[in-house]
Amino acid sequence: MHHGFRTMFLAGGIAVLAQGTTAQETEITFGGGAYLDIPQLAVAMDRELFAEKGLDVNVIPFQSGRSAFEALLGGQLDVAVMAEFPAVIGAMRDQAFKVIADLSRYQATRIIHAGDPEIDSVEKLAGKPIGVTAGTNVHFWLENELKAAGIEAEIVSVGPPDIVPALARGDIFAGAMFPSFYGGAQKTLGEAYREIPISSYDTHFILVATQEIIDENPDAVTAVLDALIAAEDIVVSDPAASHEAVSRVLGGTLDTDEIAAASASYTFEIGLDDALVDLMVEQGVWINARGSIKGDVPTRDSIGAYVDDSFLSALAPERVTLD
Amino acid sequence: MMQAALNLVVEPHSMPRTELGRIDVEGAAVSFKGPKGKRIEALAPTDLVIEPGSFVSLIGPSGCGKSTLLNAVGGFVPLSEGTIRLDGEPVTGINPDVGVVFQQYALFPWFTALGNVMFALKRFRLSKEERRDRAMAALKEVGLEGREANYPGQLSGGMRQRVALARTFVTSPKVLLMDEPFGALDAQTRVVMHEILLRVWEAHKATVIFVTHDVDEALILSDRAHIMSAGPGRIIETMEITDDRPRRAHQVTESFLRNRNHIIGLLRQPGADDH
Amino acid sequence: MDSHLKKYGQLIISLSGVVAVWWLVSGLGLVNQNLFPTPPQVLAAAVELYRDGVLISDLQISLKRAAIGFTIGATLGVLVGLLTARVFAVSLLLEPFLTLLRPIPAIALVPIAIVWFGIGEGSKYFVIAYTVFLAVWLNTHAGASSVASTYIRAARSLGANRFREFFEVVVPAAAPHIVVGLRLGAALAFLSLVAAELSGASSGIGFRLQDARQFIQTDRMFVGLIQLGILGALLDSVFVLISRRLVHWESA
Repeated sequence: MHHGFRTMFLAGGIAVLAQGTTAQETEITFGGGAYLDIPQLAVAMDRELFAEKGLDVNVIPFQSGRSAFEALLGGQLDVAVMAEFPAVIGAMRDQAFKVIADLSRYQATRIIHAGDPEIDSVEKLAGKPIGVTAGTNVHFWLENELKAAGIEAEIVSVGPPDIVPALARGDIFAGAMFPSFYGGAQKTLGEAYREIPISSYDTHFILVATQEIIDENPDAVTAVLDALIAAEDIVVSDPAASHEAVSRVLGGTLDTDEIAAASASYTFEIGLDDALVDLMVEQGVWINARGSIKGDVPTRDSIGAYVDDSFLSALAPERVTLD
Repeated sequence: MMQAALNLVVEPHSMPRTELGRIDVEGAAVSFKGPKGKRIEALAPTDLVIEPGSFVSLIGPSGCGKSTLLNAVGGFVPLSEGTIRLDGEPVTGINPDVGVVFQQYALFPWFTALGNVMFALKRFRLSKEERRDRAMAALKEVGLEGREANYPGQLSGGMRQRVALARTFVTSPKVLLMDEPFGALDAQTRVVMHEILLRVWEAHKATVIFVTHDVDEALILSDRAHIMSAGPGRIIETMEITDDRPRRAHQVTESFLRNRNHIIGLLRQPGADDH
Repeated sequence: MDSHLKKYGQLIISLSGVVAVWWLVSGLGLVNQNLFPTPPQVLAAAVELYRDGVLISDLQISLKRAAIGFTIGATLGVLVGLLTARVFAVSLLLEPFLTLLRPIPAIALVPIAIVWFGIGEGSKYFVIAYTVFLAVWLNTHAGASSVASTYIRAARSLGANRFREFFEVVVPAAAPHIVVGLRLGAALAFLSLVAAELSGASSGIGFRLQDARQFIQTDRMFVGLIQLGILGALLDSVFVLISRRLVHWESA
């Protein structure tokens, strides 16, 4: 008992001390993860750039941007990173948040199959069963691709982690999946692995913030963005250092070579442009047409209302090209 | 102290064995492995002859081995020494020719009264109709006419035990073993059950071994009572009961009282009562 | 009759109380209505799903999956439970393995089910059947291995052979336990249904829940949850009714 009490007292003292040193900093809860997609975040954490901007950032990693977004809407987070698609749903469901900046683009989207190597374009997938997780951004671009190619295929809804096993078993002929499963597909399918590159769609990784933090502490939002821009300078100027930072933040699950290889498929450039808003509107129209969310058809205005360029415009106006 | 007496009841071997159901217990002993591996002698080596068609009671306090002896005759517990013969054949296991009425009825609650009695008849090659008729007759014999469709749960304790009796008697077993069958019944029901049991016994002429701790019950029912004692379980005295039947507990004769006092005196002996 | 009235009265009071509190909390705007919808919003979502035709079709497909999975799991559970309880060789062979399986939840089996049975109906039946099997096996085993020895003695002394002893004594004696296992299994079938429909499904209550989550439609999610609750409760009452008939001697 006596001993336990002393330990408690000591722990309390340390806590008070810790409080003392961070009293000046603004506390921010950041929904993270996706360090490979957004090395700016990994570098900012690794180099303690948030602290430099006077922030005490607590990064909580999430398995998917969607769950990070759900936590943000539920009031658990101040800011979060994710793909653009959930933000479209959030805008259509009148949620209290804003898109602050576009952080990076993934440019190696593909359809994977294990069949005849001759099948190397979307046209040749006519009539084949293709696995995809319904209602996701992948579903969105797959339908666009099929439409553009003028073909019909059988779309089978499969959960994200089950597309690769379904491909390996032959339940589906081809699979359209989140990029995080590409590596697993390559490993599982081995020699049989084939890919059809898709150029019509790039995943945009964006920074979102709650309306509450924007209203109550806009300086903190600016500081977060500022730290990420500072981190991007390192990402661009010293890729090797960036890869090391990502590897460290990931806890060594990927080595720097693997990170370097994967990073080649991305553009890391913080900005805000019409391409992003146009894409989001297009996705909104698709969601509306699918009947998943009823109501008015989203427009540039209705979606644009959820993009707040003021923070980026103030910090680096040259990065904003919105009409 | 009582000496550990082995009661050898010598029977004249010249007697013609026309009837079935003779039990010869020859040096039979039962011991169990107790806690900590100690062997517990439940029944010391015992010799006993039970005549065909006789009604024998085993009476004594708990732990005196009366149920053990009964279970040994029924083939439910293996002997550690000696043999038990039924009409000359050694008992090696459960034998359907030996009927058993258990302490806790042991009726199958998922069968009706009729179903329970018919269960006993299934081992014979009988038509379903004949099985049914025989079972109905057995139920009538124990006064349960009209109750055949009831489940045990819908019957009183006395009625349940009557079903159990009918179920056992319906196959006309040579031997009937009863382990405190009426222990859970009230006094009035017990009197009725005694009458039914004796009526059925007389009609079927089976050998009955009846375990009880109730002295009056033993005196009312049996031809012979074996008084047993614990530590180890053994027979300490055998008493012939020659009173005329029917006997009634409320109209006691002098010999009934004498026997009763004698048995209670025996059971009161220090060392005979382990409670 | 009177007790029925009392029971229904109690149900109505309890439910209206819950709905009242729910309405109050969601209506006062204490929480985001998009995340915690009001009862009328949920009702409207249910009506919309009904008009779209998916409310009934989801119910049908989910019930079918639960029923098939349950039938497979329950049949195997009863058979294996009786064998592990009464046949020493089988118990020696299977019991340790089944004991190891016990703590594995259905949701953890979904990836394996997909690999083994594909994304079709097979994997869904497997996941549901697995959950039901474990519950039914466990209870059947417990029931069949704890048959009162007096029943066995009585059966043997009445000349029943091993076959009759098994079917006329062991099985009915274990029946109350088996029925408890089946009831539990039926409830679990619905729990694992949601896990089973997480993947490879394009209909069913579990899929609809998932889909509604995708589009932050909490009102629809509530509809799915209420559907599951009502279905489960109805099924349980039916089970109680049937089991009262089936093992009538238990209540007597």
